[in-house]
Amino acid sequence: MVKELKSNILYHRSYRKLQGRLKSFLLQFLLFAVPLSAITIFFYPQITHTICQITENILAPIFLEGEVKIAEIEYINAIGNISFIQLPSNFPTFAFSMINAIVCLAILILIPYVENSKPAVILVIIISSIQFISALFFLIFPLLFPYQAVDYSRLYMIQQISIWFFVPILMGLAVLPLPSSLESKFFTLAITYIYSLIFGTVRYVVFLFILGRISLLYMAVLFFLLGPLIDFVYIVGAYSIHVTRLANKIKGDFSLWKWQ
Amino acid sequence: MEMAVSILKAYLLFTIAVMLVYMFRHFIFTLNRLFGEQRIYYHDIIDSDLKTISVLIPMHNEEKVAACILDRLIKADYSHDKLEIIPINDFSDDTTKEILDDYAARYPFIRPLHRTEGERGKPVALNDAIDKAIGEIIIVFDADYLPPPGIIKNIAVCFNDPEAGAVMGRVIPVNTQENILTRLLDLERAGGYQVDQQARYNLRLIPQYGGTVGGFRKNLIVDLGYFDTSLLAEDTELTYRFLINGWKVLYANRAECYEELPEKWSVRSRQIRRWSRGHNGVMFRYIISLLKSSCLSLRERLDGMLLLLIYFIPVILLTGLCDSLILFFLGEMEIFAGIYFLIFIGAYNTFGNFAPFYQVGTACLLDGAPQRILLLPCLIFNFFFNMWYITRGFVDSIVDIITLRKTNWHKTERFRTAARRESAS
Repeated sequence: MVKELKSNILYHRSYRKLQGRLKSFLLQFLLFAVPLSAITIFFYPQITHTICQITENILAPIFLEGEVKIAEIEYINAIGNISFIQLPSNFPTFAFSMINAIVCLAILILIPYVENSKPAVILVIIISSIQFISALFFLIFPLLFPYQAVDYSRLYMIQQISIWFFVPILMGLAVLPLPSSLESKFFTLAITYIYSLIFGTVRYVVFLFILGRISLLYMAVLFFLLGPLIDFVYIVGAYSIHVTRLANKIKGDFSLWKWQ
Repeated sequence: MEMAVSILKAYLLFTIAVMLVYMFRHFIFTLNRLFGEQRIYYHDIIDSDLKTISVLIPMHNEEKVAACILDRLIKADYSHDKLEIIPINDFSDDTTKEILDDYAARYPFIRPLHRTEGERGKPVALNDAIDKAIGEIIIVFDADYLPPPGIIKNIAVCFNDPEAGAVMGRVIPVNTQENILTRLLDLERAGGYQVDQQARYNLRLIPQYGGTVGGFRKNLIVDLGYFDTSLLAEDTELTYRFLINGWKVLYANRAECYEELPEKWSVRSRQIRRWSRGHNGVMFRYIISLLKSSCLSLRERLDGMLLLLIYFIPVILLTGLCDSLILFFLGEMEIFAGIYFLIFIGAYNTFGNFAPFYQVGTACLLDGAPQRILLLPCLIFNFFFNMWYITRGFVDSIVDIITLRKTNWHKTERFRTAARRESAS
């Protein structure tokens, strides 16, 4: 009884740590994170083509026949081309731009008086500011707007490849050093990667719909605030679920903790 | 025009480079705290020869919290022969004075200082109290803090090290369950103390004295000219002044003390704007002398510089966002497609606040507090909020320098109810 109690001396959390194994981490990184990133690099032609087929199937009925089609550009010559959707742009009218500008200006003037929910207020201010600038641009220099929806479509796909490549690496760096089981680590990385593919596809469909059917006016907001920054939400979400499960598991497992 | 675009692109690359530096720094800190050798504080030193302590508690209209902290300090595990408590009543117009006088009448080692003339503000109040203090070591608590019985001994014991100039303990929020704001701030505190400060202490870099739950040598602050009353962040200023004069600032992760977090976003916005203004004021004043200091190693100088710039990073992010917006409307979106993932990395690093999500997650793991880890994605609310108000604080600091504007001290609003006062005592 005394031996058992003495073997469980509970040191303060201030200086406890985990056992780190660099070789184990590097091996797991090579086995889990690198293959997932490699899938992106070696199969991006197939991935982007599949995404474009899904997008085309969803958007084609909404546009005129033949307006929505799949195009390709060169990327890594040895591997293949990136597919992306070609579609018409909905250029905003003067009236539409003016309405947007007035609404955004009204928001910018009135919303600082909202005392509650300051983070939401700040976010609305930033979105409204970007949208206001975009509306002003279309009012003053409509013909100088440098992009069409197809430009956004192409660059979005290139950007997504970078995101899909880096998601397993970033998650790997965050998750693989932890003392969770190999199965749970691989599951977390794989699920996050798959989710990023799905999320990227859904966002692609929605954004192209907005730019092609609603207005090109929203391109700046979509690009800056609803782009990769939102990807962080699910990355951090997946990480937090993984670490929560790990923390619950190791709470009572004193053998895992080292001190000093 | 081409020159302008080149400058804009160069600034974007600069923003990305800065983000990468901080990402690397925070990642090293996280790995060090999780797996590295932990530098133990001095709390195991035989403490038969304790130094005399003066505990200073600045108070301005603190009737809601004054009694709680005094009740706690009365129970401190420290000989009353070597302890004095100086609550500093700084121009209060509520019942703070009466509360303090009542305690002074009952406890001879509680010696309030009532300030009714001269300049108002925490640094001025501390300077007056330092003059009155008889202890060798000064320990400062904010009025809303709840010190546990052993904290004075925990803080004081490190001054047996002749190199120790100041020490900072760990701040633990007590009102975390009030709303989403307090929960998010709790995450921020955990990442900042359990991982960031401790890792900097482990790696012999620059832990920071935070102005509360900490102590410093009285003769040192007197010799170096007392607190600078022209700056809002007198704690940061003290840290750097001590460092460039060859004194060490220590971190005591074991010395935990409980604080009350702001419960309203409006209060938090004023607080973080004030911190930014003060910290950036110190940055402008000390960055050159820090880099030139012969008392610090190269690592310490570099880390000290990165720490000084911490309230400048959101400004860089916001201007980087504006910069990329201009490039966008100039038709330079190609630059984003290839390297925007690096901004992605930047957001990965600074997501939410100054402690990246992996640092906060690690802190929660070490604390054994799994329930709060699930709130990590909510840090995105802090991301724009902090960026906005820190930038405003930065602008305030620039205006302070240009116009030589006098800084006015504002304390954070208190939220402790009568029921919580009862349980706190």
